[in-house]
Amino acid sequence: MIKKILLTLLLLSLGCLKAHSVLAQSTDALSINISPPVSYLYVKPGAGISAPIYLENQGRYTLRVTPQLVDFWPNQETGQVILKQSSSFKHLSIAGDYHAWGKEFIIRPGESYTLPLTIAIPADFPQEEYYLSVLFNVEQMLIPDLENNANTILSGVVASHLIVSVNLDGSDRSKIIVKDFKLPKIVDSLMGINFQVWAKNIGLNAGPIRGKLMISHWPSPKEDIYEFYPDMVLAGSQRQARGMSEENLLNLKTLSEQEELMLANDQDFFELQSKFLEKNLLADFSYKKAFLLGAYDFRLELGEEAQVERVIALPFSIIIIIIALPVFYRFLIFLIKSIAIKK
Amino acid sequence: MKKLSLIFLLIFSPLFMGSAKAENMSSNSYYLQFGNFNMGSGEFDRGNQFGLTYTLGGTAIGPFGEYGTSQYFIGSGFQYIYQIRQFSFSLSKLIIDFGELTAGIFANDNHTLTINTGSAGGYQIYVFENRPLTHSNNSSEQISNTTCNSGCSKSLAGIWDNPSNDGFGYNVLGDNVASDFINSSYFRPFADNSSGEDMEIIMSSPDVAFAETATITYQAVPSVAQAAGDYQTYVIFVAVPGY
Repeated sequence: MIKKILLTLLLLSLGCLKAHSVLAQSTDALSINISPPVSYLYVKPGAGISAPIYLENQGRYTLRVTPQLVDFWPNQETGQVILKQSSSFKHLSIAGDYHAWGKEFIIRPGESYTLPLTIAIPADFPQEEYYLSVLFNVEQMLIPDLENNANTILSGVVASHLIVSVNLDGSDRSKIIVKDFKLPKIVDSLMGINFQVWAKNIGLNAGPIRGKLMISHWPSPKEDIYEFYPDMVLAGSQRQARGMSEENLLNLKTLSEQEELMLANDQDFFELQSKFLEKNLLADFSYKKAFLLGAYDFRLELGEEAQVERVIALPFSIIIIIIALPVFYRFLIFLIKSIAIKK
Repeated sequence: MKKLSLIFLLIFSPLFMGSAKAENMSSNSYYLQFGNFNMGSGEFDRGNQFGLTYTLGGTAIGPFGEYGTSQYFIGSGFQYIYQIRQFSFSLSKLIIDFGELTAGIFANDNHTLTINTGSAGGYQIYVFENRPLTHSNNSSEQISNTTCNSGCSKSLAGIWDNPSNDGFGYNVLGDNVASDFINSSYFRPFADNSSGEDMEIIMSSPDVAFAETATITYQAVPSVAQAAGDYQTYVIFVAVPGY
């Protein structure tokens, strides 16, 4: 009995050791994983915080990695960033050493490295939100002969963003409002109703978009519902809200519940999920039915705000066809008669 | 029983050592738990520059709430995508070898680039060169960046299939690539960092990316007056996640 227990424990411990030491390897020359790609941090004036960034070398070669700190600006539309050349933020260091930026380190294939970043804020530092990007310049360690003979040597830079909110009490001071709600007043019955929502953060730190949009049309009070994705809006910034219909959210839930089963069957769950999101997580919404008629009320709830807009759908294209048909018919008769007279 | 305890200790001692190592932030084997990050606290500012106390573990409320909580998911179904928080970037090779370049003959080489954003955020990929293709033995001898058959710029590709127009440029085809790369005949010159030019976007998406791939094709041809030989430059790809 004791032998059996020991054997089981031995096998278990070996399994654990293997899981700790082996990383998934890629066949690419350079393959680097970075996490987290974005960190949202708050720190009190006069306090410090750690913000480690984890890097994994999944490529074939040993990599020389050089970290650099720059500031960034939000692009105000999609959550993409505009990198600056340098940073004016002087309180982010590598393990307390402010001169360690630009000092390289090595990651061998299959190994990982954690950059121990620390933020230390002076007591009189302004309470604002700061946008920083740590750029990792990643290049293969080349032997000089190979380097001299190559025409073009490629390298990569991978970024990880730090959004640092300096505030005294650590409370969430974001406030998301509706910046713009674009939808038409009148539409044709045969066309869909296209709409877009822009959210703005008038608060002091980044916050997620929260809310939904409900479409009602008599007699149905909830004809369709779209849930907004919790994208972050930086302080003083704006971005287009993305969302998914309630029906697709249920499909996403069903898909996610099958994760373990799919992974067990060697199916790529993450690929399927990504494709699903790419197709169904929308920024440009479109409400479509076979035939729209009458008043459609769009109730937008975003943060603490709510607003209702009405869209009227009328069969303009059908009316035009009905008006145009007799005219076209008379023209056709006239044309036939003219040809007959000429003959 | 003592024997059993000793054997148990011997078997599991490497595991205990591993977990002790994980507490050290500078260790290569440290594994970060995402979301809220609590490791302890201590005195940070030994020089007392700021008079501060080092308190670890202040991850602010992110788009998905703090890890393990669900305050942002009441009435929402997006919790099913919140745990994928890794961004990866790959290049299939790191050396482009045109061999010895000859006037009037295009030299080509290519590689692939792959991006995974993990979560539902998007990405941008930029590219630039550190200088134009330069002769390995004579730095004043350079192959200029291409102007294509009848004009192109670092942000607008043009057709370049006439090898009598000397230069160095690139084409990108694949997922979410810049729309000016209409087909494999369209090329751009690289943004030249030595001239202070800004890097250019070649691929971008505001949405989730799973194994999105592009093929980068390099094309070079020297002019008749240029010395034959090896020409060299460095091309840098910059992968930037969205927030």
